[in-house]
Amino acid sequence: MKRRDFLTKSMGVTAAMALPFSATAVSSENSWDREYDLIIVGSGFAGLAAAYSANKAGLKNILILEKMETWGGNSAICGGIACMPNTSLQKKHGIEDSAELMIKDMVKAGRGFNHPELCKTLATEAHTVYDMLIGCGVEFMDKIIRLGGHSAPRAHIPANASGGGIVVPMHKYLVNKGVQFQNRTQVTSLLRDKNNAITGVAVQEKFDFETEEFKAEQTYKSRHGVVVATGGWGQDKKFVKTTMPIYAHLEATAHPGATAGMIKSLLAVGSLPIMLDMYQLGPWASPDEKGAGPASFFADYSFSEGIAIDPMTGKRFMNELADRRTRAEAQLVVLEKGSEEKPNYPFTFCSEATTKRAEGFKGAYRDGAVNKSNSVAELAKHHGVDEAVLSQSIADWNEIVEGKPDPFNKPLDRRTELKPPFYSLRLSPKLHYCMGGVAITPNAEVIDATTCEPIKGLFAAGEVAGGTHGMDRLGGCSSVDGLVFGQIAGRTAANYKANA
Amino acid sequence: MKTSFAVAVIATLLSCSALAAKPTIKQHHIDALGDDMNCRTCHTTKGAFERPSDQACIDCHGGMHDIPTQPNRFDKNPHNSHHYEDLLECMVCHSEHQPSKDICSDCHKVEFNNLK
Repeated sequence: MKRRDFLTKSMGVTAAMALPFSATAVSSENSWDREYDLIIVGSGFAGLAAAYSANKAGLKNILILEKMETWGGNSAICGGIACMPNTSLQKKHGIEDSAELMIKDMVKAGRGFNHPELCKTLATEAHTVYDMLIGCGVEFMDKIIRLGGHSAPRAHIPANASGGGIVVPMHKYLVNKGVQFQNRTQVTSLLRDKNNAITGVAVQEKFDFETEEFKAEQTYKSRHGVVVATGGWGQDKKFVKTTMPIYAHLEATAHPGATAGMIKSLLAVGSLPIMLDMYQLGPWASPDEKGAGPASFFADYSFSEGIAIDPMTGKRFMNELADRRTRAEAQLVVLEKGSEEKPNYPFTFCSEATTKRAEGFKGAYRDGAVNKSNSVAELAKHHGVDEAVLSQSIADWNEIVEGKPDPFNKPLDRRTELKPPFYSLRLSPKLHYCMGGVAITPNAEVIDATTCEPIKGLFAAGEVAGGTHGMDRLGGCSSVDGLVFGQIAGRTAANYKANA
Repeated sequence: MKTSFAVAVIATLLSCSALAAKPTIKQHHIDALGDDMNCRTCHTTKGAFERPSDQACIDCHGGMHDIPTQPNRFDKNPHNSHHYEDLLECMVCHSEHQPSKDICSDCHKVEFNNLK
């Protein structure tokens, strides 16, 4: 593309931002560098699912763009846990569950801020995701666990306990189907025609994330609109600080590429933003590992069968299986009892029997995030707790294991006596998920801020879209969010013919 | 065409001219190939130099499955990791003209003494 054409297009977009109803944005039909049936931005769960359903719907020339060198973004590095009611695996394990029950759980965790239709869509279509994944060659462990805030065990774990166990088989499945993947390509803006319909993207090719250098600026046309599946922006310190100043100092669990580039591009074409100041903190995070690593996986098991303690009181301070916001807020209160120099880190611990079941334990123990104590005295000393009080807390818990009511009302799927050796983990909430994003319809169409109607040719799915989970979300639900709405976005785009 | 591209082109041209220091070749490649090793061994495209494709590596070394990582105390096998299996390009971790860097260590405690 000639430099002049590019400037014309860019100026068109700028003009459209200022004057949405008299936009003169033009992306002339004959100046595209490349043309595709469908362009999907982002190669994680949502992007892969969009390509899957668009391919199923008959689209041929599909391109997935990825900014980074690596594929899959956060989807590849996460634990890959997916909470899905009514799957064949859940039924096989004889678990009673329903979409309605999951909706109830999600709305409770979301403090009622959930957009009801989106929440309902996720819960009712989740089981179709399971079928899609199995069809792509994804393997799950033959067990279902319960994560905090869920009324039933509904968490499916990929056989290799990683989101890579979903991303890699889907990626390969799609390559086999002829879907094209192009990494190191940064989308700089969404392009639109004189009717404000999104028609393609401007990109920087051979983009180097470290240096921000690139080889060429190009424009790609997408006949069926553009699917944005770029995830969150937890690593964009400036964007986080501007939207939620009090979280600016928190470590984020996201991969380095999780910046605000695409949410800004979405806003620049007039998308309606919602809840951009809402972020989720992960209550299983540890100051003793980077991001959310194996220790976080281990914590889910320790929360389930063990307990969490405030070192200053020696007592439990939360339902260890409450929703994430409840737990993270309880932990922040405990932390704030300490000082910056000497933080009062809450900790969780469990018995050896529990570690045998816990994915992530081996790595977390080897790397030093998880500590072994051979007695209550050792455990108390390690975390700076009064031994007598800690001893009493353990005795109290063991009575609950025996059947006494729990004042915190934690659901107990497995009763394991708490006895030495203990394995413990220090806790410190980290910024984990961008609750907000652009508003979408249940068909994954992005909504225009000026009309509150869908923007033609613009679809979004996964973390970059907001509303589904409300103010906070349950564990194992963002994977399903990306996969459900990704599928829907791919289908909606395939049916969108205005630009075809 | 942005300035950075022009700069990159000039840098590329200079890099193989007598005006600039020749990019270093790693010793194991010199040992294996000697004088047969030149820029085009890896930069196989005609015309301007491009970042080498995986194929340039695979033609000599085979795919990731043919190159298992030596057992290590971290229990990590970057050529068949839980996150990426064999999906990544060689150059995500391996470089010729600068030190290689394993991406595992972005998140995990790990060291690979034999990283080439």
